[in-house]
Parts: sequence; structure tokens; C-alpha cells
Amino acid sequence: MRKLRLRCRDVGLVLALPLLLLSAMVHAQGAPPEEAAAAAVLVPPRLVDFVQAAYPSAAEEQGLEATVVLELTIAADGVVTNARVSTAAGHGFDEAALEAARRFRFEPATRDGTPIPVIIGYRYHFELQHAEPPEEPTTPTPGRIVGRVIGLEDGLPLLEAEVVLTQADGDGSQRQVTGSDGRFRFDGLAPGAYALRVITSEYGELDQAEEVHAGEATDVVYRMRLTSGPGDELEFGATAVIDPPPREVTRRTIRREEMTRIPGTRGDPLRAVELLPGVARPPFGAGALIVRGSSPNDSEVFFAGSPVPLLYHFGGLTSFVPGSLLQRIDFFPGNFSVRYGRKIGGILEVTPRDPATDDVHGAIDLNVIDLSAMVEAPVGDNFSFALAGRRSVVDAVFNAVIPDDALNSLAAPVYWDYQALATWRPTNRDKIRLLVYASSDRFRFFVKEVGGNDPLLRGNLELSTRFFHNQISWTRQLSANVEQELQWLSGTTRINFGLGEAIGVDARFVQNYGRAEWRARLSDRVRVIGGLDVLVVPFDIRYTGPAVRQQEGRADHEPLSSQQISDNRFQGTAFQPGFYLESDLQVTSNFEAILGLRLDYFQEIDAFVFDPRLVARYEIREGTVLKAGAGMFGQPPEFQESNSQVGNPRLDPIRAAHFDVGVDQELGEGIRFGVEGFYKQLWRRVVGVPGGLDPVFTNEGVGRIYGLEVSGRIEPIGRRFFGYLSYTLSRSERRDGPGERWRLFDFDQTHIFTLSGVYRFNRGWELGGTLRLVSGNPNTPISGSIYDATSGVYLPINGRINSTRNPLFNRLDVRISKEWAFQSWKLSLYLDVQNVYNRANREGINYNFDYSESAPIRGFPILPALGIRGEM
Amino acid sequence: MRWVSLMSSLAMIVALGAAGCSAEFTPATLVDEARVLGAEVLVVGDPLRTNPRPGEAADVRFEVVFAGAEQPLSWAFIACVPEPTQFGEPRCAAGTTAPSLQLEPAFGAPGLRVDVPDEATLAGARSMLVLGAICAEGPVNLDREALRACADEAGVGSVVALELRLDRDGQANAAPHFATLELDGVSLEYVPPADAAATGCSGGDAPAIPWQEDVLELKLTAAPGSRETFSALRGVPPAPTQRTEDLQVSLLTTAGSFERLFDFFDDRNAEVAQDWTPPALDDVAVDGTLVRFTFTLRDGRGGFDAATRAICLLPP
Repeated sequence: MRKLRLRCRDVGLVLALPLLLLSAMVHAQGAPPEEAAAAAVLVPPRLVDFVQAAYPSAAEEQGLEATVVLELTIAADGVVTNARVSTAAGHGFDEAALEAARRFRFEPATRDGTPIPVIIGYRYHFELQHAEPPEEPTTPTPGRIVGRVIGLEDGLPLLEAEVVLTQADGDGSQRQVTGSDGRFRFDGLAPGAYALRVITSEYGELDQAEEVHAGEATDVVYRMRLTSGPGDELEFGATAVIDPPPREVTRRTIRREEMTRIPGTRGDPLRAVELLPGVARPPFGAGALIVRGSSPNDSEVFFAGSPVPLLYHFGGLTSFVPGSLLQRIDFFPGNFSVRYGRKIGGILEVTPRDPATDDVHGAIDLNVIDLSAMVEAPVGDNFSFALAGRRSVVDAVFNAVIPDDALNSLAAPVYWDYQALATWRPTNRDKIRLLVYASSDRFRFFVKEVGGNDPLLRGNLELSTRFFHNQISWTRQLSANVEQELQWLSGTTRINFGLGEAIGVDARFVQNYGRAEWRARLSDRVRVIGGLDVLVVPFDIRYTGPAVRQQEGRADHEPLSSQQISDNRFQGTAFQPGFYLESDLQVTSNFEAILGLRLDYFQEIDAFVFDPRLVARYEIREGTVLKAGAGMFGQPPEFQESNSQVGNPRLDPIRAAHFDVGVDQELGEGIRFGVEGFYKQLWRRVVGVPGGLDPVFTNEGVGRIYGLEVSGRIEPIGRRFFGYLSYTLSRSERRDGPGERWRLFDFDQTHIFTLSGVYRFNRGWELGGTLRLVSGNPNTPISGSIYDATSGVYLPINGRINSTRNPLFNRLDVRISKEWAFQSWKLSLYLDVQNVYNRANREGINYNFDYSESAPIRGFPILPALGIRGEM
Repeated sequence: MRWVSLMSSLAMIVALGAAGCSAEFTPATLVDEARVLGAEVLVVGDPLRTNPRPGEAADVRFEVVFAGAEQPLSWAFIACVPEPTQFGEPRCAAGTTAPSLQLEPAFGAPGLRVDVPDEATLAGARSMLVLGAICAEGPVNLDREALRACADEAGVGSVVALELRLDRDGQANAAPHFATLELDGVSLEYVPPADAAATGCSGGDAPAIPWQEDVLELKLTAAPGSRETFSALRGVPPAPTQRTEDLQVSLLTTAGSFERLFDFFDDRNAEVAQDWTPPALDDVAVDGTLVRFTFTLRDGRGGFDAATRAICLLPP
């Protein structure tokens, strides 16, 4: 038995190319679509005669299912005059879908009552009817569908849209009409598949298929696109957006639609992370991820599920992966899932997207910083790939800017990266992804004089960092309720840093990371995730320089010349397996509890940590969610801290407890507001022994971090405007040993305020701005100096650590862009200006040779970046 | 491995600082008040050696320069076995000597005699520590915690520390010396009297050089044999390695400025060459400005030398 269904789903996504084509045609004829739409009453075509396609027999025998995306040209008499495949499925599905679609009959689209020809996208879904084993009669927990119907062009809600819900097996239907907010809601739905039809007077109809899960709300947005002009062509589409169920108290997501459009980031999505609540601003935008008052070492960045050693080129210039390859960025500032271990701060998960399966696409981008290019294409029916690369051009700019008499540049700063991504779907239940990526930074200067205070700061200043990763992942649907994901990464990281004969680092890491995870739905109320991940990192580091010491909470003014320089080499292997289990229990229809357990072992210090974590979410009423979480987190010491040659191998893991409570309020579709309070207790922090004496490091440090985060967000879906508002009030303190005084954390920032917004005008213009007001970072005053007659330099005498602050940081960034759409490609020109009003923010304090004079170290001045981007 | 990112940031910041993004201060090479430049160590009974052995005594004399004529100084010193430390402020651990004091300002070089204790007191220490304060224009401050050299606000001085390196492995160290000092191709021979005034040098013994806007090139060479070879523990695991000293040069002037405070005689540079930028014409006295140049030399093992020369800079 088989059952064939036609669905119109995700049409908006797959219609990207035809929409551009249409848009170009419309523009070519001289009238902006928005104006035409406002002037005319347009009614999209309506399918009146549906033709069922023949199911390809070979595909049926193999149990294959597929979706074919078609582009249909419908004449003014409702006849399909042309049909072509936009996204192929192979196995005979394409031909069958074309054959059927050519025989479709439509009620023609009209403008002001006059029939007109149009092009539409259509998704033809082939689905086998599986014989399902008889189930024991149960009374499943009902779910619901909540959603909103909006116009894609203007984002405005559609009034009096009729939404008809029909169970997939055809039993019964419900009907709702949207109000002025475009909302609809169906409650008490039995789990299963449903068909929704949206009927509007001006935007035509839309058929969607949705799944309802027990105790869950399927949240959808149907975007009805209506564009037309004198070209007499029209199209429409829709997109369903369903967020994955939250497993953390707080997950902040940057969507693909917005990640490259945020001002002040030069289109780099990972720079946008700094604008989120809970993220502190590093000095000079240096790229360190400082989450809720935690040290940068305490947070981890995952790319495609694996940790990466370096997020940014040159410590913050631009990230190592282009935004065009990313699907989403999730940021977990605390109380994160047990899927993540070995860190006590926050997690940044960067997810690449799958390469395009419909056609060849490409992009090229040139700006004053770098040149990048990307191409992606399908190969056959089940395989697609993407290749991307980037090379800096900043070296040319740098050489022109740096005065010759300041330093002799022997080799200008150069960076490059590349990514190769392939997705293969051998069956409908399997997805295999291969990912190869690499990144390199290199520069070298001959330093005549740095500050003039330290004779050891001379010679060649060299920095070279490279990493190369290979990753394979395999996701398989083991059964209707169980999914398995296996992943392995191997790669190398090489770091060279040198400053004359005073400092030298030659570090080699071989990074191996694997994860096996199983996700199962045990019942309508219970989901379980279990897995293990393992990190194996052999390392070999040669280090010449002053003694290894506590990284945070020390003043860094001490000249190298007054410190003992020694040669060191430390080798070893970090072997860190972890096991985790997480259950998501839907206690009631509006109360969910997630309990997670994680066990980690750190071989280098021979220690286990066991971390229980609990998150609860309670939906007080529609759109209002109360959430809370508590959990324990463990982290091994840094490798140099626990190394037997330069550190203390008897150290214990660093521990932290996170407590969160907050409320999320939805103020309208895509408009959210949230308030969260958090408290983090740290203990067994690794601190240095004064003077670097044995045992060099101990676990006697403690810390406490508490604060409040307020966030507001308008999502870009269907709107001309999107934006963020975030404010963080926090305090992060440390105590470096019993009897010591509490002090501020190095990057403690009491107030962090960010307001960012982007508005899309007609004719492809877009303008945005980001304003940041942030408390200055703490610093340590210098109360005097001692002349070291041995080396000829002055030694600063520090006052209380971090007892003074830089003034308030404030900066406005602006981005303006213009996009031109042509028949098969589009071109955009953008200008991203950081620090528009050239604010001289103080990032630190510089001292003269004997510390009797001081002057502020200023941050970056106004920094315009002009770029051009072509995309097909 | 987040420290990798921090290292990258640090390197960029250092590069930006080197590129001229840092603040402008009074040139470090300009002596505009009393300033300590180093300390000469002479082993009692073996004045060619700078590193005493346990049980020996050494005379330590601090080199102080002034913007003009010599000023009376007051000082206070102690010597001790240092607290073992990898970094940070030097502190005494044991064997602190009685203070050597000059409470009222007097002319002369500040210094003290250090009696190196025996092995038992040294407890393996490879150096002695001299801590003290030197004050011009006022009495020395005796409050060690105050970190001020002078008891009065009007005084100018420095809190000083010296690591007095001991000869623990039979490697005697001699002080390095300059060989030639040239400015604009002319040998700097004139050693100014300590009490010579900063102005009014016209017609005096100092070589007269008319002011010009252009820089003048200074060239220094070290005396043959100044760069001694010695054995040091280097590498992993540490092994004795033959090395040749790099000689660190400091360049100071009482008017104008040098390019950099520090330079080196090393394997690449047998000669130190730097430009001296004369002061602004307005700062040149009508009857001549006596410009003192002081150069110091350190071998990194306790050897120290200083040379002061002068010219008379005349208005054009």
C-alpha cells in the first residue's frame, strides 16, 4: 500500500533563485515591486486540478521517499505552460513530478481582477505509506500548533486569513481565522501529521504539512510572498520555522537571515556574538569569548560539533569560517546541556549548513580586509558539496599604513582559511557529512623598540598559527524514535610565537575528538539523549620565556628583562573521555524538566568529575515562560598548569555551580523579551604560588559571579526591521587564596548595553547601526617603581589588583548596503564603519620608562571597511 | 587552548604599539633630573672581577647622572640573601646586613661594601640582593614600605635594587668597556667636570658644535674582549652551553634625544649606531648649552661600565 501526498512546504526557502530571477525581471521593467504591490490587488493562482504522480517503482521497492521542488509557469488561462525541476530528488521522482505537474490546472492569478501569468514554486512530496505495527491503545498527551501568517515583503500580519487544519488521515478538520495580529492556534491535537491550508484573499492559498508531538507546541510562521510588477508575473511562498526544543535555560541564537547584516561586524557572524547578553567586550575587540564573568579559557567554541582551537584570525580580526557557510550560531551563556563538558563558562556552537542541492551557487566578496570566494553544487541526486576560501588583503593595506621608521616589516600579516564541506545522503535515513577546514595566520616584524622600556623586547616578533581539521559525521535514523550520530575529528594545530631570544613558543597539538550520541523518544513525554565524547590531544611544546604563571588576575607591566628566562619542553597527551545522559520529561503540557548527568575523566591529573544538571521550564501562559536551572560543571587545568615539568600534576579539576532563573515573554511574533538572573560559584580555581615557587600552582582560588541580563529581540523573518537590545548588569570577583582579599575579575564589566538594529529600505538599500555602552575593564594601578640596576629597567610596584577601571566604553557602528538583483545573480556593495564618531576609548594605560608618567592606550579609531559581494 | 587566541591578540597589540599607536612621553633617553643608571661592582682584592665568591667582599658604586652640575645625594642601602622567586618584586630572605646610610646630602657616588656570607647562610643562593634608595635634593627616605626614595616631596630619586651575582662555578666575570665614542664622525673625548654648569660652555674646553636641524649620528664600539664567553645551562634538558655575552648599551643625553634607550653589541652588531636629535633651537642657550652624553654597558652577568662625554652646542 502506498499513499501519495502533495505538500507545499518550505516553498519560500527553495524559491530563493526564482524569486531573485523574478525580482530582477521586475526591476528591469522599472517599477519597484513594493510599489506595484501597493497599487494593485493581486490574487495568486489556486490549484484546482491536482494530478497524482506515479510512484517510481524502483524507488518504491527500495523504500525511498523524496521531495521534488518544481518551478511552474502558469499562463493567464491557468494552464501550466512550463515546468522545470528546481531541486532534484533523482530515482525517477523528478520525471514523475514533472509529468504530473504539467497536467495541473490552476485558477489563474489575477491583478485587479485581470488574469495574469505567474511563476510559482511547488514542492512535490513523495511519501510511502508504511505499514505500522499495531500499537497498544494509549491516550497520548496532546500537542498544539501555534502560528502566525504574515506578508513576507513587509512582515505585517495578515488579517482574516483562513487557516484550515486537517489531520493527515483526513479525519476531521478545524478552522480558524486570523485576527489583526495574524495569529492562529490549534490546541488539544493528537500527535501526528497534519495538513494546514492557509487561504487569503490577496495572497492566495498555501498548503503546509506539520507534525505535532506530544506535549509540544509546533511554532510556525507562514510567510506569504507577493511580488509583481509590470512584468505580469507573480509568485508566493511560505516557510515554516520550528525551533528545536530547548535543553538549556538560555540559548541565544543568531539566525542565518541576520548573521551577516549586523553593523560593526564587517559581515562576520561570529563577531555578532559579542553583542549578545552575557558576553563581555574584550579590549581591542580581541576576540576572546568572555561569558558571564568567566575567563576566556573557561568557554569553548564548537564548529560542526567539535571544539576548535582558534575562532578568529589575528586575535579578533575576522573569524576563520565565512558566514555564508553557516546555518546558525547558538550561544549558551550558562547551565548548558550535558552534551558539553570540560568547561565551566559558556558554549558557542557554530553550525555549518548543508551545501545547496538545487543548483550551482557561488559568491565572491572583496573588502579592505580580505578576499573570499565560495562555490557549492549538487553532484548527482544525493551528494552536494561546498568549497570556500579566503585570503587576507590587509597585508597590502598594513604595509601602506605602518610608517617605515616605526618598524621594519619583513613579512606582512597574512591569513587564509579554507573549508570543504560535502553532504551525502545514501538513503533517506542516513546523512554523512565530510568537513575539511584549515586556518593560518602569520606575521613577522623586526622590532626596533617597543615602548622603549624593556631591552629584551627586540629582534623578530613572529606569530604563526595554523590548524587543519578533518571531520566526518554520520547521522542515521535507526528507527522512528531513535536517531544515532557518530562523529570523529582529527587534525593538527601548530603555533609559533617568538620575540627575539626572550620568548619562543613552538607548540604542536594533534587534536582528536569523537562523539557518539543516541537520541530516543521513549514515550510521548520522555525523550532521552545519551552519548560519549572523547578528547585525545597529544602535545609537544617547546617554550622559552619567563616562568609560567597565573593567567588571570595579575598585572602585566613587569618587564621581561627583570624576569628569569628559561628553556622548557613539555610533552604529554590529554585524554579526556566523557559520558552523558539527559532526559527531557514533559511533566505536564506546560511544564518540562530536563535532567542531565555527565561524568568526565581527566587522565593528565587522574581525576573524575560528576556533573548533575537540571533545567525546568514552565509556561505560565501563552508566550510567557518561566525557566530555571542549576548545575555543576568541571574543567581540567590548562595543560601548562598541570604539566609535571612546569606546573603541578597534582591539581584537581576546577569546579563551578551555575544557578539561573528567568522569564521569557513573547510580545508578538518574533518579538521577544527576557530577563534572567544568574549566580555562579567557582572553587578549586587554579592560582599561582607567589614568586612562582613550588608547587607553582594550587587549587586555592575561588570566585563568585552574579548578575542580571535583560534581552529584547525582533527577528528579521518577514520584517523590514530586526534588532537586538541587551543589557547585562554583573559582578565577577575572585579570591586567589585563603586570607586574600576579594578582587575583580580581569574583564569584569558592570554594565554592558548593546542596541543594534537594521532596516531594509526599498530598492535593495539597507541601513543599520549598533551602539555599545560598556563599563571599562578593570586595571591595576602602579604605585611606584624600583630601578633594577642589574638590567637597567624599572620594575613597577603594583597597587591592588584590578582596583581601578577604564572609563565607560562607547561606540557606534554603522553599516549601509545596497543590493542589485540580476537575472541569475546579485551584487551588493557595503560599507561597514566601526566607531563612527571616532571615540577615543581607553583600553589600557601605557607608562613611561620609570612609570612616573602615564597615558591612555586608545582603542581603534574610526574604521571604515568597504566591500563588494557577488552571489549567484 | 583559548590562550592561543590571547597570544594572537597580544602579538597584534604589541605590533600596534610598535607601529606608533602608543602614547608620547618625555624621551626615555633624556636626563632631565637626577637618575640612577646602574651599579659597578668591584671585588675587594680583585678589582677586575665583578662577581664575588662566598666569604669575599665587594664594593658597589651606583652611577648617577644629572641634568646639569652634580648634586649632593643621600642614600640608604642594605644587602641580603634574596628570597627565591621567578618574578615579581625582589625581597630579602635572610642575612640582611646593617644599613649603609648617608642621611644628609653629600657629593659623591652612593655605594656600599657587601660582605658575602658563607655557604651556610647563602643556602645555595646564586646572588646577593642590594636594596636601597638614592635621593637628590633632600634627605633619603628610610621607610622601606613607602617606596619613595626621598623623605621630602621636593627630593628626586630612585628606589633601587641590584642582583649581585656570585661566582659559584669558577667563571670570573670582568666588566666590559667602551672603545670608541663618535658623534658625527668626530671622536667624543671631552669628559665634563662634575660641577660643570648646563649652560655657558661657549669658549670652554668642550668641543663646540653649531646647532643644526638635522640629526647627528652617534657610533659606539666596545673594547676588544669585552664580550666574554661563558658556559650557561641551556636547552631541555639543561646542558652547559658555550655562549658569548651580548652587551646591552644605554644611551642618555641631557638635551635632545636618541632613537632608543637601549641597544646591543651582539653577533650582528659590532657597532652601535644611533641618531641623536638635537634639542629645539629655542632650548639652546645663547652662550652655549653643555650637552652631556652618558653611555652605559652591561654584560648581563654583573659587569657594568659607564662613560660620560660632552659637547658644547652653540646657536648657529
